[in-house]
Amino acid sequence: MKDGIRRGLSLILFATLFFLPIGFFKVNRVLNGSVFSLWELGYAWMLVLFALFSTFKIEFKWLRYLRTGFLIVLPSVLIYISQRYVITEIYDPNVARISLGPSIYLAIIGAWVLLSTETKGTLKITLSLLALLVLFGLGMFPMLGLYKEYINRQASFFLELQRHLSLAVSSLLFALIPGIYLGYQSTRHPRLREWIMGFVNGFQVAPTLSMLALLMIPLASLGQSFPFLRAWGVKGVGFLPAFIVLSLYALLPITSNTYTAFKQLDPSVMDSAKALGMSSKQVFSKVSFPLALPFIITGVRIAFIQNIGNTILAGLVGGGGMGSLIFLGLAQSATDLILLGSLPVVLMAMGFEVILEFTELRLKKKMGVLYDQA
Amino acid sequence: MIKLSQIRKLYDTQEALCNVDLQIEDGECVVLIGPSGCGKSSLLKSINRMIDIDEGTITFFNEDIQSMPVEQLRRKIGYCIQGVGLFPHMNVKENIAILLRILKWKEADIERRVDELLIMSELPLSYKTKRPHELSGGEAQRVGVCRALATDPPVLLMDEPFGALDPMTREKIQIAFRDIAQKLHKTVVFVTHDIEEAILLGDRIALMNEGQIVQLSTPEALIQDQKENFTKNFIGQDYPLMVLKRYRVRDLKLEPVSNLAVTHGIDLDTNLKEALALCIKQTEPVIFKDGPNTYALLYSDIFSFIRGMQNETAY
Repeated sequence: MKDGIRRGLSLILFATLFFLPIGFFKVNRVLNGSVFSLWELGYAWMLVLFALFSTFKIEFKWLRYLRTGFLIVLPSVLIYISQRYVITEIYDPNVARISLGPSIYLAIIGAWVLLSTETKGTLKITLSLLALLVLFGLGMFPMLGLYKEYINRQASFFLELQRHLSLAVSSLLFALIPGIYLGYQSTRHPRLREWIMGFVNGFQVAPTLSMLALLMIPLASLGQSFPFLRAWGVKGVGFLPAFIVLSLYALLPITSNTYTAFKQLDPSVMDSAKALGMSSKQVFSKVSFPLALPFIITGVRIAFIQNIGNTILAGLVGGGGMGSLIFLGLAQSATDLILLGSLPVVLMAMGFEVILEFTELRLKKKMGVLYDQA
Repeated sequence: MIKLSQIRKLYDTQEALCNVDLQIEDGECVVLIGPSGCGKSSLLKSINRMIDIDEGTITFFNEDIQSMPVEQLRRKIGYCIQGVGLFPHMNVKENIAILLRILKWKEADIERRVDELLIMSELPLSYKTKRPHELSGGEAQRVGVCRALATDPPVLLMDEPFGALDPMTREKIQIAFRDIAQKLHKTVVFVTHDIEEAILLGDRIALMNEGQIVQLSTPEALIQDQKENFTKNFIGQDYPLMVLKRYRVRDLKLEPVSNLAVTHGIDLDTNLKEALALCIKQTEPVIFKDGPNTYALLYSDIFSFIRGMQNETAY
């Protein structure tokens, strides 16, 4: 999108602060709250004027730096001032909360869209997001619905977060070696490839939920028939079915990308290695595998990001993770609880994506596969 | 010495090589040439077992190539291909030294050997840390040749290595390669489809068609002795002129003259085809200087030389 369009979009998004609700005061998590707008927040409308002006092109260098700083902190400031709404009703401070209205969300998007027009825009947006997270963690938004949910179940939140990550990571690691092995073997035996791809694809097609449900039966009966297995945790519910399903799902991206990784190897390079008199083990360890590695990492990255999302479903079978928060929130119709469960998943997915893509890029440069062959 | 006897190779039912016999002597360069699909690459690759033959035997210095582990055989043979195949994740030094590392040479020896090879190929020593993608086509192929020569193998197999280079680079690298191979007394089997390259590099030319060797002769002998119509058609009618490029004025062994004014700027290293062209362009004779001596060149010098070569090496 051209810069002009982005600026126009930001302008409109900031303007919504004037006429859309900026927040809700809710007496408890379930009941709908009373709406309040920008005008009930004192001189906050001046802030919005600044925001509107910031959408125009600025010539002076220092004014531009000022604008960048302004845009980076704007989301945090907006949320903060929404918390300054003067509550006129009687309320229980442990339960009542101020939730964010649509205009704040839109304005935050506006600020980020505007930041994307600047150089190193992604970095600046990340800074803005980090600022929000840090202030949130420090308790600077005490009345925020999301914060209330968080503070009320802090220990449980971090426990589930840890469970979520350990499920996602362990199931990925478990699928890693088989996935790479199967992917590599697919390149050497074309007939085998069809079988492997069919097997691995079949799992992708089957809905995760159905897989979980189907697994409950054999696992449960196994656990009942063999007490020692039960002691190890073989049950129809809990960690194990989620782990099995997640591993199977992680298989496809890893296998498929490993296959591509080895298939894309330059035949001239492989021929030279063989002709030099290197044994097949040496060719593999010194040439094939290093050159295929960046593309294998692509598969690992895709599998991991996929897993972080899929792990939410573990919450349905008692496997823990952010899913338990989300489904609890759904059952209780508590929006803030749902947000508390889903936002970390989104942030983790995006964060790991960036980190892993960066690793991939560095590896590709190191292996010289980023450039066209001479 | 490499001996190929009754080689037969089938791809499904298609005969790629049929009853091929060839003996390559130590230190000579045999060029395999022919149209696409004639089997020249297959024949080359059967020597280092990149392709396995269906019938026949190949002996390498009197040992059957099937009798030794294939890695052992290949370490005695250097192999260069058109795509070069340099390892993109290693720099020039690591590329050249890879086999030396595997053979556990000492670092100091490796360093010395790599320097030696780079100097011989006229590449700057600073290239050691460069990555393959930073090299031009000609430079990459020179590094490929260095890599093939790293363990000083007695035999080099070259599969159209200079085909992808532009004509100017190609000519330079052909001459450089010929000089290196001759200086090191390497036995070379060279595949090409370019008859001029074959004339320049080959001590003997094996003309192939449809999986068989149609004729095996020296470049000079091919001027007169063309056994099949196929040969006539393949090498073309101006073949004799092409053979001139193989030699230089130096080979004419002209006597120095005195009291004549220099008319042209050629020297003893100019090839005979260029020299002949100059004779055509100018009224004779061509007077030139090389070093302290002045020489006079006539048409007849060139013709009698070629006639002499033909008689000498008639096959």
